[in-house]
Amino acid sequence: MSKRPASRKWIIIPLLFVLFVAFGNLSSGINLLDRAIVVGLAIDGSADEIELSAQIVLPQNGGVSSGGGRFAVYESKGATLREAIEALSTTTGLRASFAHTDVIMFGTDFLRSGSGDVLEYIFKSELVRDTALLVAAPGEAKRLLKIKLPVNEVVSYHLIEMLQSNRDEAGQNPMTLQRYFFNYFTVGGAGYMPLVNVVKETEGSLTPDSGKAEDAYRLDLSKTVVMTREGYLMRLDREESKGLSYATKRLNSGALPYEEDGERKEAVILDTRFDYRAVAEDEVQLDLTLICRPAEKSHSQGGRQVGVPGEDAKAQIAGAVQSAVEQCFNVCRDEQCDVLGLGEVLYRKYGADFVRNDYLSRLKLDVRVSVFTK
Amino acid sequence: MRAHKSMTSTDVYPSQVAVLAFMASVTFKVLMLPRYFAGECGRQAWFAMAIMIALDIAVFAFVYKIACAGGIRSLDISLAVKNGALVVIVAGSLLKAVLFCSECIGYTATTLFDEGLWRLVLAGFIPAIAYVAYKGFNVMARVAQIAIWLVAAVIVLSILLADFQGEADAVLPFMPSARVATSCDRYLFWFGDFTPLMFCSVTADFRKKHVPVLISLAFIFVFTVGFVLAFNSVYGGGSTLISYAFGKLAIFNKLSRLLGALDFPVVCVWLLMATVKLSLLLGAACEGLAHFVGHRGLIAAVLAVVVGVICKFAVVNIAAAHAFFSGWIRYFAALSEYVVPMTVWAAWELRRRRRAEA
Repeated sequence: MSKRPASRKWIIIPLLFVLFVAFGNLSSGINLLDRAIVVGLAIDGSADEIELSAQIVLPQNGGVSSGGGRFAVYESKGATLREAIEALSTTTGLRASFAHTDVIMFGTDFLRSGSGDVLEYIFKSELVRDTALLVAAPGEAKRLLKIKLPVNEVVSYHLIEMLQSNRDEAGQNPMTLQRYFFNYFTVGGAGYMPLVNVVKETEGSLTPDSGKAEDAYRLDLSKTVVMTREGYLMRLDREESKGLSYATKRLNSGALPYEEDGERKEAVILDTRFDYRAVAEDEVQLDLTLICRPAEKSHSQGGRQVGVPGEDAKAQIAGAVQSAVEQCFNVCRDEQCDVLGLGEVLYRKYGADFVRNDYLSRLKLDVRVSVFTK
Repeated sequence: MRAHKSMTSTDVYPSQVAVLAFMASVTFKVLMLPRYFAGECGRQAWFAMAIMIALDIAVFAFVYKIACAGGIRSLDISLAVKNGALVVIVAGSLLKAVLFCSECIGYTATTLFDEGLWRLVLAGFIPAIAYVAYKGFNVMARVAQIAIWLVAAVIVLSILLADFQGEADAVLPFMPSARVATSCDRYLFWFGDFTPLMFCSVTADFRKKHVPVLISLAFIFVFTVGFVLAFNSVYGGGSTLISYAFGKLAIFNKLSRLLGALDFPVVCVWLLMATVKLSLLLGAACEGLAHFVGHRGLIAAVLAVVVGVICKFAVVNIAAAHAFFSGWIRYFAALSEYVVPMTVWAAWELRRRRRAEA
């Protein structure tokens, strides 16, 4: 090999090195040191003015999920979400980073005022991971970030823990950004997210960190907000939300109350299955299978298993589940909103011709529930 | 593998052709194309991808025969056919370089930089691809051989650690319609990526060892079609909103809440693939022009500047590039990527048979 290419190589390598280092410093490359790490984001305002509230890890302290004054809530406003995010960076003095944002809260006032563009912007811009959880808060979402919780005062972390640990529980309908847009684009698509209700737990309880008497709250996620492509539609109550969870998810926890021998008892869900079948152009059959066990330990007495729900109890459970699903279906059909994804079931069997705009109003849902005990 | 004695800048081994073919074909088919296909033919996107990849693989047979014959520049064909083919390849490669460079810069600027400064990414990226293009096809092959291990690591980790949230129903029912054909036609420019390999010369002693190439082609088909299936089953109709599919499906985004989003490993590995792909395109344009005027180094520098300037000033944004390249210009890609390899092969085969008869 001649000397010339080798010498040229040793000119080019340092040149590229200098070039990359220089450009690396000149540009606003993402680095971890000057970041305001946002762990929870609340979005309020209206379509004309977006209000952001961000729960941020204070950089000098690092962050622990128990809080202890290491987190702060910053607010900003802007005509668009992008402007509000830029303003947030100005407020904090650091560039806001959403790489750790796992929960986004929307105020129902904001959802009602036309939030579709903002949600779509978040999804399209890759601002946060698509595993981020979406929740709605009654009125304004920023109130959520400021409440004190007895267990964990960092609301964002507490909410994430709740949503993740109760993911497969009856009545809970957690929603990720990815799943929201998956549902949104199905035939007759509708999205939903849990509604976070703040319930006052104790008045004037002592918190270990402050030593001061402060009101404490707990979060309730048993209701659900339904969104269509046009925006906020309605709120599902506790029973309807349960129906939605039975009909759309595989569950592995949750209580099923029943009465036996004059006593009020509970069975616990171990597993569920659901299967939709289009039996006619205007009828869908839902086969729901529940496997459960008694909440209290069963035992054998005189050759008879005591504590295991009998046939009557199973019928009660099946009836309650069927009723919850039907309530959910009826309320959604009345609002012309296909939250159970029945349009998809029809489309897969009959093709696009059979799925017309008014398919929901003439649609019947035949819910069949089978309960098994273990 | 020991280097062959008479190695020139275009001499490559079949295993290197296999790796180059993989990167040439896959890199930009898993970035923005899945979104375009989802927008055009919805759940049937995988079928459109399967048709086009099968077509590409069929054309690769001609490209590989030319490479085994010593490459287009040394092929014994009429001067008119050769010069015409080279001009079309140069133009086609440059157009493709502009499109893919815009996509690459857009992706890098969006994921690695807060403010998406195209000019800075361009300034860092263009010299690198120009240098590799100037060094020739066996250097590109070496770069590809190094990068392929990192690519494999990302793919294997993504499969092993995946928390797959997809639903098979999202890609059903299978109802091929005219929209599949429309999308295949509309996105012609994103296909037929093997033409630059016509400049390669497969090392004489290895011309009958086709196994690595066959494995690569099978993997290209399975990977790209599988990727689109997985992408659509995870995002359903939401696929139409996702600009950059590759990073979204990679596992590093979902590993841990405490780690946050880890785009960097995926983006950096993909950038290595993009470097190989873009240097292949620029290298093909260099080789083609060098056939007429010589001075490969100068040509590489000038072409790099031309591509950089077009990307900076003429391509306003990705949407503009998409609109232009899915317009009438797509038929030029059909000419350079499908017609040229087959014509060159036919011309060579005819002359070879005539010589044999004589």
